[in-house]
Amino acid sequence: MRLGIRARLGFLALAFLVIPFLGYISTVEMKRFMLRHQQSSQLIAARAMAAAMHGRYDLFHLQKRKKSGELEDTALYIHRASGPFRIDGDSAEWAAAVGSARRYGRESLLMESGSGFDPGADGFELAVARWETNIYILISVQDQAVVPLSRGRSNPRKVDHLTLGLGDPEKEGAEFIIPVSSSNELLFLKKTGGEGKLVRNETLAGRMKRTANGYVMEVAIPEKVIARTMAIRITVADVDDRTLGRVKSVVGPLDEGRKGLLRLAYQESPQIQSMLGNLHLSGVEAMVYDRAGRLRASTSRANGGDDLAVLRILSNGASAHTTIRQGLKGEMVVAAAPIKDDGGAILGAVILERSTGAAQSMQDKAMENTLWGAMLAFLVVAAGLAVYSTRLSLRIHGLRGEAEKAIDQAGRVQVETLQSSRESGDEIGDLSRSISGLLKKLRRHHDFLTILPRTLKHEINNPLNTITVSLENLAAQEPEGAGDKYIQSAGRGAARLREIVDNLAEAASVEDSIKEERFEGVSLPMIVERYMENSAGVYRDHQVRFVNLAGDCAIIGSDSRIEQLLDKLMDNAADFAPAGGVIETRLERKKDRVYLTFYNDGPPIPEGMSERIFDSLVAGREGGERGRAHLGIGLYVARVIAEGHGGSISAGNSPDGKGVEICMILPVAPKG
Amino acid sequence: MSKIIGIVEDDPDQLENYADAMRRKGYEPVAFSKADLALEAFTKNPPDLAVLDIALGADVDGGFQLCRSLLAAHPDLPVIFLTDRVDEIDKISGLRMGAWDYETKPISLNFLAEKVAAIFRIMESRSQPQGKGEGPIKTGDLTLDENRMTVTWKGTPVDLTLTEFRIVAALCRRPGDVKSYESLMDSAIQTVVANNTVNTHVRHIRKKFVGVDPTFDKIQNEYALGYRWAED
Repeated sequence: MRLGIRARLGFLALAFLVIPFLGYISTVEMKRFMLRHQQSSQLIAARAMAAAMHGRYDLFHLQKRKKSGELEDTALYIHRASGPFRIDGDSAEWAAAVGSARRYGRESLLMESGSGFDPGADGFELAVARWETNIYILISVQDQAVVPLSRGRSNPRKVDHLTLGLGDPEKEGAEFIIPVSSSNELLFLKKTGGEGKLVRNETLAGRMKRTANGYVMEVAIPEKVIARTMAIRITVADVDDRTLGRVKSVVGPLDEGRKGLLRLAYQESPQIQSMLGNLHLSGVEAMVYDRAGRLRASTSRANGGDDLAVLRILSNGASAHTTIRQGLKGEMVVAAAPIKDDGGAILGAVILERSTGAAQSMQDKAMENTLWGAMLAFLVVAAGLAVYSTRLSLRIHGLRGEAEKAIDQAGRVQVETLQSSRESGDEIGDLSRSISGLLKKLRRHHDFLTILPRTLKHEINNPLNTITVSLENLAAQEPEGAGDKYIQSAGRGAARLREIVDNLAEAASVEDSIKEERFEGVSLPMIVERYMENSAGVYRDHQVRFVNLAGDCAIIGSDSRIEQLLDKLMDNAADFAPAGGVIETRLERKKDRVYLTFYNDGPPIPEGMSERIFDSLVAGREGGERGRAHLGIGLYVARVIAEGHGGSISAGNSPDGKGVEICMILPVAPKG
Repeated sequence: MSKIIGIVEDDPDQLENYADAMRRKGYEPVAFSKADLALEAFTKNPPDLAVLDIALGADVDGGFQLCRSLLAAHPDLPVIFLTDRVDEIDKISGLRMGAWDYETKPISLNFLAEKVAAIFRIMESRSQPQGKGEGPIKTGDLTLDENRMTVTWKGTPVDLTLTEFRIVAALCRRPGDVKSYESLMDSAIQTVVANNTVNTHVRHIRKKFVGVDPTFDKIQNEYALGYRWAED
């Protein structure tokens, strides 16, 4: 396959496609670098936040036990519910909140009559949750012998019951007694006055349900009631004695004053939240967990962060670390740092999450820029190359065309100086100039060849004349002398020389005069026919024939030049056709061309000679029959005349291979 | 008294040959190889006929200059150019200058002598009173006086060189008959080389006749053979 300059350069331009690839590699590297940077900066931020909360027991509602030094919660967290609660005594919707439920057993025993408290079977679990404007309390009590309020036992203090105090009862808190009922409905009895009078109250709502090992109560309290004090007092009184209704044990959360006052705290800590808010980290989601794994504050709307990171710190005691993980919203950098106290105990964990979007979008943007840049560069370069190569191709093409036209079919130099790229300083310019130089040399050589016959004639003529006239004088001086034989042979030699010189002169003269000659319309068939008729008498040694297939047609030309041409062709044919051989001339017409074919049954033209035999001084075939000089001028003259008539001439062996055909093509004169 | 032939030729061998030939034919040759010497001598003592080469030494047109000067001094002097220059332009310039003929080398000395003799004959006839010798040939519109070398076509004289004149004379002597190239050459005292030499002469002759009469078409080419003068 041949690839032009344009195709090759276009192929080279494809190399520019490596730019986006390199760009991709570098953006990947850049992204990795940015992520590392993001990780480390996020880790620093997480550590800083953890440091800000260092030892802040208050933030996490913790206190250190004086004796053991263990940390304990000082408040019960209000679980943030994710859905509405139905007051039905069923704990199904509490499932999520059970994690933050707290169990109260022997250590919270407020009163025991005898050894009635069974630490394995008794006690209760408490969970608090919030939904909309209510605070919900779930109390699961373990009681092997539930004694509910019934027709026979109408004293609520003598059945299993709860005491729920809202706020500090010694100040202006309200206290309710909630007896276990035999149905699911709960009765809220508010203590009024000093003597413990109970009045049914509708502020609270609740249901209960009996379970296999006790009962469950679900109570809804308007948030505003609790919001004032953020404390409740809750005790569970266990009555196993159905007849006397004696309280066996009372269990309730112990506070400092052992009043059973339970501090409540919202799981979302406003303090921590404001600390997070003050950070103003754009694009960063910050989350703080307490040591129980509860989310205490978050800048994120979504619930919770990376559980694994939290778990690592809270359960495994891992130090600050970062990871990159695939989240719902794409790739995230997670930085986690433990919040500790002076003793090294873990209070909680700070989690900072940030999407890798910045790095990703940087990468995308960089990649996009690279792609656009590469595409632009490719287009610019490709367009440049296309323009350049097209120009180059056109220039070379033009140069080639001009160079081809500079020498005509006969090998004559028509143009000496090529105009294409003549002035340009590049290689093509050099090529153009060097071709011009070659053409000049060729022209000089051709000119030399052209003037050679004239020069020869000119130079030979004078000495030849001297010889001729001397011989004549010699012959006249010694008529019938002894040297007469030699004088005659010298005379023949001189005559032969003269023939040669005249042939040369004829060629030069035809070349010079054919262009200036006045042409007129002449009938070619008439001339050829008469010529051949007359030739039959001249060339008696050959069978001269003429076939006219052209009818009558005129050409623009000179009859004497046509005759001269016919002389040359006839001479040539007669020279090569064997004695008695055929010389046939055929005239045919094809459209506006007339074809004159001279056939002779002489020896074929040697390979590669058919073009050259029309050149000056080129003799085509070996030896003529008639013993005449063969300078190769005759066919050259024929060609000059044919071309002078706007025609062409060519030679070849006849199709049957038995002879030679010389064919001249002349344009037919336009009618009128 | 023998006729004086002035010969100017820069090649001494040829010069001597011409001189010898002329002398043999009974003429008195005066030979020069330099134009200035020839001019000086011929101006003082003009020859009866001059044979001039064109290129004389370094001066390529020395013969033309000489011819012009000689004819200025002696307008009736017959001049024959004898040169190796075959170009049409030289031939035309030479003949326009008033030369009788223009011969190209190599030439046969016999032909040269014949031409010289023919010129002397014509000059002699011209100096004789009218009516002597053969009368002019008349063919149609052509009147040709061989003795005086005059040709008229439809009453208008046509100025021909010696060679051209002899070709026309040969043709019109027998109108309708084909005169072969060879015989035309013989008549014109020319060595036969190529038919085209005759063609060139005929072309000049036709041109001169057409100059007088644009409808002239009496000289017809019998291709491959020769020419004929068309019958009326």
